[in-house]
Amino acid sequence: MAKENTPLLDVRNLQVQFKTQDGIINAVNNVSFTVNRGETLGIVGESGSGKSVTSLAIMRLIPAPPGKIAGGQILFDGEDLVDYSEAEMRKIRGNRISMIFQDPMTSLNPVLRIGRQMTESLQLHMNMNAKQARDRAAELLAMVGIPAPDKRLDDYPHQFSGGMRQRVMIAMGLSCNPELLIADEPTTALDVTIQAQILELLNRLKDETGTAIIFITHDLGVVAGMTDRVMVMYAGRAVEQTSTQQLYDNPRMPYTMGLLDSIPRLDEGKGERLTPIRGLPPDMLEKAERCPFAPRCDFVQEVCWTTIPPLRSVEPNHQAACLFDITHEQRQSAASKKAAEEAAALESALESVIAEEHSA
Amino acid sequence: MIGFLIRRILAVIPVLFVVAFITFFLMKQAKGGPFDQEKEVNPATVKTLNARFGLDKPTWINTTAVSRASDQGVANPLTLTRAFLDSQFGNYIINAVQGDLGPTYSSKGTENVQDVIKRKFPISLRLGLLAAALAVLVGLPLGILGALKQNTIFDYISLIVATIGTSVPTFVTGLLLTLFLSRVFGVKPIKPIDAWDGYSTAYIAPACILGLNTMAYITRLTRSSMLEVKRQDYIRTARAKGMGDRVVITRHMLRNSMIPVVTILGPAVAGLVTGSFIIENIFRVPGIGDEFVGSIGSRDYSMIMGATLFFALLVALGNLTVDVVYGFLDPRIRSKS
Amino acid sequence: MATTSSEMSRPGQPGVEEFQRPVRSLWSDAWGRLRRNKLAMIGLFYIFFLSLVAIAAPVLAPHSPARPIGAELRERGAYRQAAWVESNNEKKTGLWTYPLGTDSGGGDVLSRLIYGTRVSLVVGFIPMIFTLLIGVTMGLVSGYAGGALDSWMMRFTDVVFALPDILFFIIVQTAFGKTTFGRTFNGLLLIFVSFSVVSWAGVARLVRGQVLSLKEKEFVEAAHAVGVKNNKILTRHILPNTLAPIIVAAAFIVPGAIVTEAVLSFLGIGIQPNTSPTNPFPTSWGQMIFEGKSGIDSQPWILISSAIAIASITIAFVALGDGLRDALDPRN
Repeated sequence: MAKENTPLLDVRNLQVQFKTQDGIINAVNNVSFTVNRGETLGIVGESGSGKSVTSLAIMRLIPAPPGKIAGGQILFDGEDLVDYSEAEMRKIRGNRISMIFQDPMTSLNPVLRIGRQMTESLQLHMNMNAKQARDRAAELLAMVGIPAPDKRLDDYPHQFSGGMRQRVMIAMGLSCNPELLIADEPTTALDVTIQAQILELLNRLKDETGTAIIFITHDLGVVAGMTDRVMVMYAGRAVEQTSTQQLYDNPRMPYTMGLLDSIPRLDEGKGERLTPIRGLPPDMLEKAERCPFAPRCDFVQEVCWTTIPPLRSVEPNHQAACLFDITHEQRQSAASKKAAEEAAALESALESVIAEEHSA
Repeated sequence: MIGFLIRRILAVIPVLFVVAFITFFLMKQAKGGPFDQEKEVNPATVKTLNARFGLDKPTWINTTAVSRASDQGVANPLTLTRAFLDSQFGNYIINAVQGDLGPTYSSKGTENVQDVIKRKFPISLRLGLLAAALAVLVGLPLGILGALKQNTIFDYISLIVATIGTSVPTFVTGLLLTLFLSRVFGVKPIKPIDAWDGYSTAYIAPACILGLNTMAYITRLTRSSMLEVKRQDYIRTARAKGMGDRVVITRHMLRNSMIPVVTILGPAVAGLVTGSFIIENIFRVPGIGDEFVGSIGSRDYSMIMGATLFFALLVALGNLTVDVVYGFLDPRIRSKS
Repeated sequence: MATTSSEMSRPGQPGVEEFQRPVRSLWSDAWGRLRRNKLAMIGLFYIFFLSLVAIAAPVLAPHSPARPIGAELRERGAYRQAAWVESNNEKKTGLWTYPLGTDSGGGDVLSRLIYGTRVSLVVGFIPMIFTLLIGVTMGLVSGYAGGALDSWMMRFTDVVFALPDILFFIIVQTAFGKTTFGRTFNGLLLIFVSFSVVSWAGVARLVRGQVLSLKEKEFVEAAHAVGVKNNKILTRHILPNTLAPIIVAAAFIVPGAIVTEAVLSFLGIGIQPNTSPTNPFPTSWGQMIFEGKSGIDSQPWILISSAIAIASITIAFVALGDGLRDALDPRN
């Protein structure tokens, strides 16, 4: 069944639209990427950048209406999921592709016991009987580090803490040995210490099971230890794609640089300032033919206002959607120059105030 | 769970007491006593009747009885308290606690209120239960269908039925139905007295009208609660696990969406069983509601008091049942109590 | 300030202002949603239309709503049928002068219907205002004060909430109906008071719930932190945020009060008929239904017309209430 030479997941020119009262929103715009077997891909972006919608599209769980997959292909193991019927899709969901959601507090059914929620997919996809499914569920809970799993199966979700619930979600996601696990911001709703535990758990399970993972986050810091490759999304478009190492060493899209410079670092000198991205996230209703990042970019040129930059190869295995070859050093020096200018302007303004005070 | 139940049952007592107090207070404000209506009664008869029903005693507390007793050298605090409460209200409450709601005035004391309730309530109960059954059996599926087939013909039908059913008062629909039946089919929906023994066809028309409001309400609530549950994260989780529509609906949606519906079901059924004054009046059903309306006209205070307390008790029991069922449906509540 | 804005609007290089669409407030957003709800808009227009009818009743009504006397009565006859109904009895055959016929006292049904609009609207709106005043105050104080005061107030509210309401109205009517207080404004005052005295409990619970959750919100904490006084926090920060559910509740209280009046009048203990031709509230729809019930065979149009009038006004309010709830609930 598995075709070793094709990637596990090959998304081509995916297009997802939502109808709203103000017009059609292109939530995902011409996005293409691949995930190989056993590989972990990170998808990074701000809220509203289309990363979650992309993952729901792969599961074919876009709420329709108002949403719909307007174009493109989602080739999973060589077969296009866009053409699948709902019944065929159900055999994929939870079985070959499973998903973990952001908020563990609301993602579990409050009136059903954990055991019931875990065994239902085992019985559905693995043809287990009730006893087998229960034993397997207990095994899975033990695997994600929940103590006394046999007893906890009879508990309700509200009897678990947030971190524990996310462990249950992960156990549920892995229960049918999926080939692909989509983790949609699995740690965002959790405390920092719990976050680290969950990430560690995912890393361990990835090695143990060999499952490919799409790891969706808005936090570039989380991506570093988790993923093999990263795709950065902005305003529904893929704007940079490369290996995790490359992305940190040599980002080529000013947006990615901005994200990297927004992370506070302990190893930087005292004088260094954070240089965040200015301006506001993009308006998704905007239909202008221009670089979506142009209004916030430090290197914006005349041409940026009239062209949508395509994702182009900037070096082997590295694509970025910028018309120019801008490097991280350029942004940092520009930023520090700007910071110096601001400081100077502030100083001169202060001086004039002081001078006025003196003369008065 | 047991402790929770006991707490809830105890909480009913002050409510009933306050209802009794308010009713008694209001009744005392009314002009004219129960025996003033018959013009030919001579004052002596009124006096004996008043004495027989204890209406010559003070309204709230009997201080004269206490001082008389202490003058006679009674020191037992229990006896003194009893004397203190030897008033109209005090005696009423003491008897009511023992299940004696006193003689009705209109029967001149030959029949007790609890006997009238025993005789008439089964008719109202049958009517109310039939109406409730109709409300649930039609309302629930209609609401579920409306939510699942959003923006289809089912949805519109359930929405229209729900809007009209909740907003048009039952006495309007009831009267229009009787008018319609008699004009178009020549059917007299008003049945003779003996037609109401046991379950009979006589109940159909009044039960349909009585249940209409509740049915519409259940439809609305079920529909909106299903729609609410439909967009919860855990439904997306269930779909992401590959669960089909049938499983998602029956296993994951129904129980969650029943929680708000059950909340109103208890008081609604209690209301159907008791609140059918209007319907019983229109269809001449000889039930407890009809009796109550009659007792207002004849200023039969003991009947009014008794019926009010009985209704309040039923409503309280309805709410109590809800609390218990709620605990079964929602594990979060269960563990809290 | 001036420099920033000129910087923002540099030509050719649009700044931040390019992202700003016209800002829509919660209220204009809600109004937009309400306007698209056809059922609610029909309800709103119908209520508006009825208000005009109520105000202009003396102009619109073809006859006096009071019972005629002498020659006028002889001309009308008792129980004249609706205009299109033929009858063996010439005195009962319909006349277009009295489109919906006359009642047993010879009163014109259409005119009574027109005047009845007044009672229904007044009986809907005034108790609603009282109910909101009591309920919102109790809810705000109880929720904001917390502690023992809150727990006692809520216990009281629970008892009021548990009162069987129609029963209570009936008892109040029996107790006070014949007193001076009970006769004020044809008995309307008593209906206002008894309705408000019971109905506020639901509003109080609703508002208290809102206040409890708002109290924990950051903007209230912020107001506390900068030293805003308690009553100002209540009126400036908390009350406006509870407004949406209160408005929705109000839209449902009105039909409730209208139906209550109709039920009481139907039982013969609601508003009291006033025969004075100058009285602004001479009759109500509930009363007409009460009369129409006994004349159900001889003159069905008294019952039919008043039943339709009550049904349509309550449907209009419920449709508007539904529309408001959907429009003000940002989750939809």
